[in-house]
Amino acid sequence: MKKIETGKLIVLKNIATDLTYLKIKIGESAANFTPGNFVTILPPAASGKYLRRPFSLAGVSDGSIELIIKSIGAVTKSLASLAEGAEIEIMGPLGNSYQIPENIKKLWLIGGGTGIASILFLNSLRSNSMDKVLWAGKTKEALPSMDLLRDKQFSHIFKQNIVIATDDGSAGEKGRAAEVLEQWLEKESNPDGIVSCGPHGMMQAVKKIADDKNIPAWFSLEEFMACGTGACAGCVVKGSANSYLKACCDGPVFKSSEVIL
Amino acid sequence: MINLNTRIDNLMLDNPFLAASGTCGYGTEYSDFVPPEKWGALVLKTVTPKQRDGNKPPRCCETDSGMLNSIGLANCGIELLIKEKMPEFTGKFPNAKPVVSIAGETTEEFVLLTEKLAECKGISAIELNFSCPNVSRGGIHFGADSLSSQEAVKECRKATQLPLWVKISPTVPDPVKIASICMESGANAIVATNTIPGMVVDIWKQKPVLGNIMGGLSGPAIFPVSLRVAYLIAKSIPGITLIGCGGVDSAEKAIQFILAGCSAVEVGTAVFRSPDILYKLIEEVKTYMEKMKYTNVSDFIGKALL
Repeated sequence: MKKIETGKLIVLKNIATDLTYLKIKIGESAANFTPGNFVTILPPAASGKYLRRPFSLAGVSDGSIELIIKSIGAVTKSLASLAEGAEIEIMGPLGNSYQIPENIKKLWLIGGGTGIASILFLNSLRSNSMDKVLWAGKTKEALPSMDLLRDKQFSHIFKQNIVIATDDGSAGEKGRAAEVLEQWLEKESNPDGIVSCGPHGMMQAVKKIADDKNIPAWFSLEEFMACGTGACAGCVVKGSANSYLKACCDGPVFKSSEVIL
Repeated sequence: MINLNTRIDNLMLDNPFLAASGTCGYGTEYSDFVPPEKWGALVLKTVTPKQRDGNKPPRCCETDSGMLNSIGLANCGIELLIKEKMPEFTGKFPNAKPVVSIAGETTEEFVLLTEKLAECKGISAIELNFSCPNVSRGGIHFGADSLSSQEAVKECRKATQLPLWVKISPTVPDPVKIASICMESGANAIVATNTIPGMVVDIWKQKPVLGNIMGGLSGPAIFPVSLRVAYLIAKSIPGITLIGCGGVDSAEKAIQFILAGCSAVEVGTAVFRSPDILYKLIEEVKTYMEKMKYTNVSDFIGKALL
């Protein structure tokens, strides 16, 4: 059941330029969230904004939900500058979840920027040793340092199978997400499935690769939302059956065959 | 003892707060937050004769003190509403008061929709949407034309016993004239008003933000504009039954509409912000009534009309 509740910000940590990790204590209902789900947050008064903003969960632990947000607009900037102890009104769980079939043993998870959030959550609950995660960013500054990625505080979401890549090669592997994915495919046997979330162009490129190679793939899509519950039809994405699908309730996770990116 | 009942012509509502069309889906989407029967009534998402996909995305964005939308009357169509959506809603929430909002491009379409709704049980009223800014035919253009409005309301009146409400646009040159024509043609109430056309441009992409270029502005930004229209109508047509709509996100604003002559108010964009806002509105309006020593909503309807 979806709920509106006031959580308490218990950890706020800047993890890269413009990237902030938030841990919000809500109690028992944190257990209701599954990977792919999102919450909408009532904008802090300081932001001057009106409508709730959607954020995918990066994890759940200790009765808290965890988010990774990028400071782009007034709402994300004001959230990133809250003090620990601040109250945050959240609404959720919203949206569907990743439904990865049992037969998908080896899963590659490709995240760009804050698109990594739902991927981290999904990865944290999987235990297949063949899985790996690519976290792509433009430059070294856009991603957490290796020290942070190995920090015990985050070990439940930053698992050892995370590989970093940057467009300019300033950290980790060099290349855009889709280019690194191509390199992986040249070196290794195909995965049984691919999951991706990130900038639209990145997901387009990943989808093309997955579709060309017939690899089942799932994408978590982000759109501006007004209601987050399916009431307004404001967040539609193009479905492959020549119809519109609502990112908030038909998604945000879609099978590759369901959507046109 | 405070009584929040209010009367929309011949229809009694438990309280004066209605969920506005387009913001509460087909009634069930927000039911986890507020049981639908708690609202005075819920105006469901506008339906048209055929299913509509709606406009090209992006369909909405936030603007200063409001939001722009160009959903474009995306809806399931009247057939599916009657066969599935309404039975599902009334089955789950038999005590709720659903109002069905309809939009046609012609009088014939409005009549067809009205006739079809006779097959449907549990409808409290029909709201004629004469004011959607996001469709190329019908909508705001239809409602701005007094002859079209007159004909459509007259013909719909013949086709149903249900209360007929007409939701008018704040942009029509003479809202009083349109309201008066609709009432003379058999409407039971006027809903004042709907969104105001607007647009925004993305300066980095150097193109309009909305896929449809233009959309309808709603939220706190439009409150004074809608209130003015409601006031003008109430002032000019004594005894008219009015429902205020536009930017209500507090009891204070709802009370302003009531003082300006409205018997109820529709709440729209504020539901997106706070789906459980109804509880706050009810508590705050009760506090106001206690302070002012009112026992009934009707005690202060139109008190600010000078």
